[in-house]
Amino acid sequence: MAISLDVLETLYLGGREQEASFARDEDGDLIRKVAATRDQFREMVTIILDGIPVTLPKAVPVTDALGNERNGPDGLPIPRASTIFDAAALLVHQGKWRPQDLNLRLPVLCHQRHMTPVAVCRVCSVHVSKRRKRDGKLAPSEKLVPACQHEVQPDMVVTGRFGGYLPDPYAPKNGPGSKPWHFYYRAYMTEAKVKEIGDQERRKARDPNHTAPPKSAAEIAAEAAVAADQAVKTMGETLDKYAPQVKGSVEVVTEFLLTDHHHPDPERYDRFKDEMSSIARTTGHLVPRATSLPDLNLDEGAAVDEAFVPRLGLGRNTDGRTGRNFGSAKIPKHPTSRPIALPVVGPPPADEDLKYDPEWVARDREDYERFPYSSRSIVVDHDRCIVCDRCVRACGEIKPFSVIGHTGKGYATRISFDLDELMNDSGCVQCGECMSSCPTGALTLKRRVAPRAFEDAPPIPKNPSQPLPKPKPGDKSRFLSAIDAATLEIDYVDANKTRRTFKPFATIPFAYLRWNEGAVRERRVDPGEILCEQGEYGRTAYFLKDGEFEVIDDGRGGGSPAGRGFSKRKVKRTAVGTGTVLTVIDPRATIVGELACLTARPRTATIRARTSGVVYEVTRNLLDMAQRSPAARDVLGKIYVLNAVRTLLRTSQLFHDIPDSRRTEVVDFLAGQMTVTDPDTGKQELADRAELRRVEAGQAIVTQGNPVFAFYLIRLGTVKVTRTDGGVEHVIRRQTENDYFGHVGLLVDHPKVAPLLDKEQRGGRRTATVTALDPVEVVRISGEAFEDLCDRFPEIRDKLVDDAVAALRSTSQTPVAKKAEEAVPSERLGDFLTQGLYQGQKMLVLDLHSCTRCDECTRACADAHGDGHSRLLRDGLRFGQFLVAASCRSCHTPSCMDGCPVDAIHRSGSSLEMLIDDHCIGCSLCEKNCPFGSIQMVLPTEPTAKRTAAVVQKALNCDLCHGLVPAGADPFCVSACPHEAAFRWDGDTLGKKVRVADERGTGG
Amino acid sequence: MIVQRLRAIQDEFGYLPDAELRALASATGTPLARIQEVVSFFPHFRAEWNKPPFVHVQVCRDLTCHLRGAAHLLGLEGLGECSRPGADSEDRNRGAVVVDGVSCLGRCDRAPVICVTRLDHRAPGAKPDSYPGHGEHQNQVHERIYAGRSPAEYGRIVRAVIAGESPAADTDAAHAVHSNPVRVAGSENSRWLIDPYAQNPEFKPYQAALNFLALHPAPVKFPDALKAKGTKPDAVTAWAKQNYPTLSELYISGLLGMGGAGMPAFVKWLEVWKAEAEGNEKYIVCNGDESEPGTFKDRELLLQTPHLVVEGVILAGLITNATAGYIFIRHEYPEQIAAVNAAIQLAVAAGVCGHHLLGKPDRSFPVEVFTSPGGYICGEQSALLEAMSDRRGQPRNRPPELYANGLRDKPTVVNNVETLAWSPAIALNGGEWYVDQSVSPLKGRRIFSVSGDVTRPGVYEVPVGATLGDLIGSKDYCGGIRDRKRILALATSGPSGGILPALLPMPDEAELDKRIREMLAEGLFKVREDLRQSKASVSDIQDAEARQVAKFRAQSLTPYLTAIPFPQADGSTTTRTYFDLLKMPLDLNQFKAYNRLLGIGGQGGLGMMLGAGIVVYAEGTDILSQAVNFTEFFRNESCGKCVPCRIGSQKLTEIGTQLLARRKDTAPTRRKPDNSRRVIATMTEAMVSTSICSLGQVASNPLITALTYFPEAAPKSQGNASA
Repeated sequence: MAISLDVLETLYLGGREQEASFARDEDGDLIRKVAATRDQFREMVTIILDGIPVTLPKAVPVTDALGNERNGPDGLPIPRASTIFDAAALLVHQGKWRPQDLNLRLPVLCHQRHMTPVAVCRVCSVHVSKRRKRDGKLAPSEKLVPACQHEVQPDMVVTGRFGGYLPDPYAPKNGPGSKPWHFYYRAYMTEAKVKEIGDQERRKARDPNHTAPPKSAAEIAAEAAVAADQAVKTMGETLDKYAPQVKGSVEVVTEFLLTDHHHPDPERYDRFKDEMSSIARTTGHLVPRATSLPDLNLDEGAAVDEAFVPRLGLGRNTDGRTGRNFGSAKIPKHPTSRPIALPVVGPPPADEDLKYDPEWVARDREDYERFPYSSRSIVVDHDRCIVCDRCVRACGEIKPFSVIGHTGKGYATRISFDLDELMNDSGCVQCGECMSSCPTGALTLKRRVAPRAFEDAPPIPKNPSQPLPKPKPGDKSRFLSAIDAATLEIDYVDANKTRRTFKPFATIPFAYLRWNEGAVRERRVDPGEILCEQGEYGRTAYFLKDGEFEVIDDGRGGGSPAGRGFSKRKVKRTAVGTGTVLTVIDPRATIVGELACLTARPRTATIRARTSGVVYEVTRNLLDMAQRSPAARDVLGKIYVLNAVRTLLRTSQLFHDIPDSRRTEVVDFLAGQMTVTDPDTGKQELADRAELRRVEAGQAIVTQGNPVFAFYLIRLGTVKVTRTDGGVEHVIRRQTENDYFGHVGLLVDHPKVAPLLDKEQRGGRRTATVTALDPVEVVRISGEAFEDLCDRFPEIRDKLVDDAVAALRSTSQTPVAKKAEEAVPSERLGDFLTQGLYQGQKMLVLDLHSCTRCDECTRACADAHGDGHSRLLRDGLRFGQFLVAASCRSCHTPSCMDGCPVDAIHRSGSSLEMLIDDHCIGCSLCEKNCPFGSIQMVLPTEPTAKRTAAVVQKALNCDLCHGLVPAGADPFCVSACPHEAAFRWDGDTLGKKVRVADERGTGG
Repeated sequence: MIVQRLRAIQDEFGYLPDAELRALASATGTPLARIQEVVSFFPHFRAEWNKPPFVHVQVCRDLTCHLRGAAHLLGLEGLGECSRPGADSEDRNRGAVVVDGVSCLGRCDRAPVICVTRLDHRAPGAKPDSYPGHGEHQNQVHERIYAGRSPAEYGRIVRAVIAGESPAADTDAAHAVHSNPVRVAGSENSRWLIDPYAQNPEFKPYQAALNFLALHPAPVKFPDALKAKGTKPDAVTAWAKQNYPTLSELYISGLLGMGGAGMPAFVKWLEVWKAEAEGNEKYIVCNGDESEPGTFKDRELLLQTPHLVVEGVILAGLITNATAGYIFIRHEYPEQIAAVNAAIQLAVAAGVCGHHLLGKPDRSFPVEVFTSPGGYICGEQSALLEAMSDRRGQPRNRPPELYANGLRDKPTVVNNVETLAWSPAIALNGGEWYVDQSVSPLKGRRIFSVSGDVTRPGVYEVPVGATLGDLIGSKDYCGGIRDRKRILALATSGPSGGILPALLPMPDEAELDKRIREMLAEGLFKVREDLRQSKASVSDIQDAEARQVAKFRAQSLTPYLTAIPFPQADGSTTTRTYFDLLKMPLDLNQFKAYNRLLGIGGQGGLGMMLGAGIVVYAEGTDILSQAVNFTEFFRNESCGKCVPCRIGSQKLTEIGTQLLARRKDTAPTRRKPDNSRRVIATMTEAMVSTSICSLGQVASNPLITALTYFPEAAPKSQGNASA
């Protein structure tokens, strides 16, 4: 038997190559995963996505759920490889696609942009061809790849399920996305061809053997146009060739999902946004039917009653049950499920308003019967679950709980809680993150949070079937329902001075909006009405819809109302709204008050209405959630940065002595947008001289020994300055808000500074490391911008030079730092910082020399609050002779509020205490966030009961006896002390007391 | 760590008490949900709510066992009645005798097979059905595999186990497996050339590893000169020929991976040797999770030649400078685990394994056995590494590839047992020796396990290039079809390659010509370009191309064809030409090439494949029933990670079950046009395109091949089944 190998040689060898189970690149080299590098932030890659060229960096920074860049320990962003999905998002950002095109061309179910892609649902499958370097031909891949996870590579040609054209009725008529792909592709190819032919001509010109005259520009252009037309034709063929494969596969996968999991439950339509249905509508698997249900009118994933049209005719359980929720005689329960005792009846509602709501009680009972895995606030419907992994990652990646996992294998896989327990019996804290992440309504809400964000507003019913309270005649405000909020539109003017419309809440998961109904209210304001007061803590921000407002500096400083201590600026307090009008704003500004709302710092200005107007007042949790969407971040993030920079420049110690008018110039100079020319591309771009940077706790901002590039102003938080000599790290000082650093390195050539420098300093290297102690925001001014600033404003240079000289002669650089330094003995500074004492504004401090450990303080606390729970624990670390007890410190930059899903913990008014509202859901995030162990989770009745989702625990925190003692009076822990050993001090006072004791020789 | 801890807990209690799981979670700082993910993924683990029954009879239900009547055993002489205690009772398995199915147990040559487990958790004198609480139990688990017996014997065994006796298991050691004839008189182990030690008694144990260490006392680093990008592969092999003979011999041998995909072993080793990992950690993992039905050659290799497997791992580790080796063996192979552990001990004693190799303090390469928690999917190499990392055995999305980011994210070689077992022979006898063992021009030898309707089902080492017909028909090998029946069908890669007739129908001439030209595209292109350069005329070019096609047909197609005469109604005879599968050489690349030519598996489908497990079906077999059984296997073993496989495999099973049911439905009025084949073809295209690993890509092969090639097996309907 002969096996011919001559003709077949290529085939067999080819066969062997195909055998390779290794991924190879377009040239047959093995693909090696090399972790993305920071160099790749600047390495640009162009891919062709459904015919449109898109250029993006090979790597992008890893971000958290809110889009903040995550930095490594060295303070620089962590890179991750850019994916095809990133490229698609960029097309939307550039206006070449509409946002809905993303859903049409690259639908995703298991992916969310703030999660690590797992690529399990495969509905974002696309076809990829790569250009071989060898012969320049396109090499099509046989398998499809998931767009959410597949890394971009140069010259990749990606085909989605619709290829070049969207079918009716999805094709855009006008506006963004209405230009056909070949418009962009032809331009791109023409440019490339012109360059290519031009290069050839130049090569020929250098070749002495070549005598033909060079081609003219017109000839080159004509030749390029012909080549580009040919390229467009080829690309069109490629798109037409592979789109059907993608389309067919996506349709089959969608049918798989629907056949098994979709069972319409009209009663729950208004509780979630059904992303799966929005895909199924585009594949023709769902058609609307006549319905009595209200049309929720949401852009994508609108929940309407519709019929399932199987295209393959695969079997479907006619009663809509696959036996996942619980077993029956006909349909066996999952073999991998822990048996559940039926009927499951949940605990009686603890909430007063639900207990006596017969409708809700009946519904609750029915929920438990139909969906026994449910908990007191979330309905778990396994029949709708598509095991997309989103809740699993939400619970473990976005939130730190890791209660949700998978149970079973293969077809029987489903989500489960802890050791496959009922959600009520598991360690689930019901933070709602899973419900917000669910794309199909397998996890839906049962009750509202009923926030009490606005003290003067009527209470929200917890039963979500009950309507929100209607405004009474004459009321100036009303609550927005979830639908109202989701469809709310705000007009604004963007950086290019274009008028645009922004839907701030459209991207928030609908379930989350429903859960938090009552957190957005529409408020009509009259002329002269004050929206918010400078210096007060505020938990809300305002979207401006209508009217004119003025921003007023009442001279209450940007610092805390209790007196920050660092600010030398003593301006006489004026009545609210009578200070300098800084600026007048109209609704084009979009949002005001977001700085205080997002950072839990006092308001930096008073805002007063000039005309009558309409604003939408929202709580922080909604702003946080909105910022998960890049589209909303584009708008809100920019405003935040601009306002933050402007505010800092107004309040910074550096500009303190400069006259007001001159300071406005500085602000405009640094924060005003200006045009710069990119030296590489020659393109004009808008750039700021000052840039806002966020730094995580523990990360370095500048590192000793690194070259000096920039000057920094601290906007928020505290940093420590350390020097490492001979491997030993010394804490030199701390610096905090409104202070600045990094100027000495930029002034090395100044005649007053230079003689004072040693060799190391003259080398233009950092002489110390600056590390963030808590989440810090700094404004970074680049070396060039710093030069410009000093040239333009010599008084600033003089001040900085003076500071630098003072610093080099002693150890402190700035007056602020000097003052801080005076407070704490230098040998105790390290302890002071590591114990977080700099944060405290009202720490409970016990003088161990006089304290007899009688525990009166603890008892007084429990007695005064009348619930048997003490808010303080007479335990903690010692600082000198003092013990700082575990009790709320009223931090300058409190981290307890970060991520509270229902905005229950907050500061308001002008006092320092953290208050926890009754609508706290007991998710324990604040307890986890507090680095000082001040917040406890308690059960309302039995303190020993198992902490499970069935019983609502609540967060409990020291409230400085808010409402129990007159404002400004000592709380009971202090006043009850029989030995006058208990005090409420801020960090500097404590430092000073220890210094005194140290000097007396009585320090501990 | 967690997987092995769970096994220990289960071994102690017979199940996994919740309290123990909670203790494990808090001791290791692992969330409970993560532990539940692992516990519920592997069928071997039993949760507290699902305590094992008093006696558990697990009947292998796959392929060969199904063919041999496993379905009947499930109703084992009335035992089934007492096997379904009330599901809602507090302890539903208490005191029960449960008979149910289990995935392939790897004894297909002795089908049907059962595994009987009895939990003797009882104090002496206590009633057999009592479950004492924790602490007071005595761990006496009777877990034994019985194979190759009649239903009546199985009935007696199970009754004896229920009565408290412990009938002796049918061990692999006691079973004389059918295999090649003995080559060296008096040496029973000299059946296979893979074992150089049986062929040449002058070799010391672990001679190949000793040779390597003598030749390279210090680790050989990948030369810096060859690291530059753009270095030609030839430069590397030329360097190796001079300086690294062991690796060079492997390259010369052309040894392919024996796990199914056929990646050259040299490439994996070279890549890992070259890779520089953080902390210099690299691993060698031997994939002994042989769970594909019909495949049991690794079982014999691990049992009869464990020293070769261990030495293969050591050679791979020494060549690539790896830091540790693991041999991953399915837990149903206890004898094999013991044999390998003993071989590791010997290797340590010989100084070629463990720490301080040959007494050198700076060189070490420990090897250990990792007992698999079970499941076919763990044979997928990335899923295997996931299982070793205490996660669900779910395949990874690739790239990155394992040789760069494998176990613990470090460079890792994952090789099949047989691949590694060949390496000592190649190291001792040379690469050319291995090449010469084949039918030219192919390379090497390979071991197959054959089961089903053959006279001598067993494990055979054959030269690559011998034909399928030789393997099945030769008296040295399987000895033909049992009971002198005719062959009907073959599964050439366990369930993955579908079920094919021995005689495959040919596509029509025009289609065949088109496919040949597609296959030869690159070669024809070259011919065309050459002629064009020499200014040949168009007709000359066409002639030259036609000659090439004709040459291909004459050399590569005609030899495989068989003409069968069919007498017609009018008395004349027509002959129809078939592609004769039995004439195919046993080479996996040839199988793939002809797969494309014959269009098996439909558009884009993966049809004919050549795996290590071949199952033969004689005439009279119910092909549709077999195909549905194959499909059920994939459904049962799908990991559930990606949607197309998780739901697709279930839907395929549902379609198959309906087809079987419809066949029994004799009422012609209720027959509907059958579009199953079209539906399956559509599903196939999507599943092949979008599944993460090959399980989802091959899951539709059995049904689509059965419906294509055995239309008479499918239910009759108004629509044409082959439409």
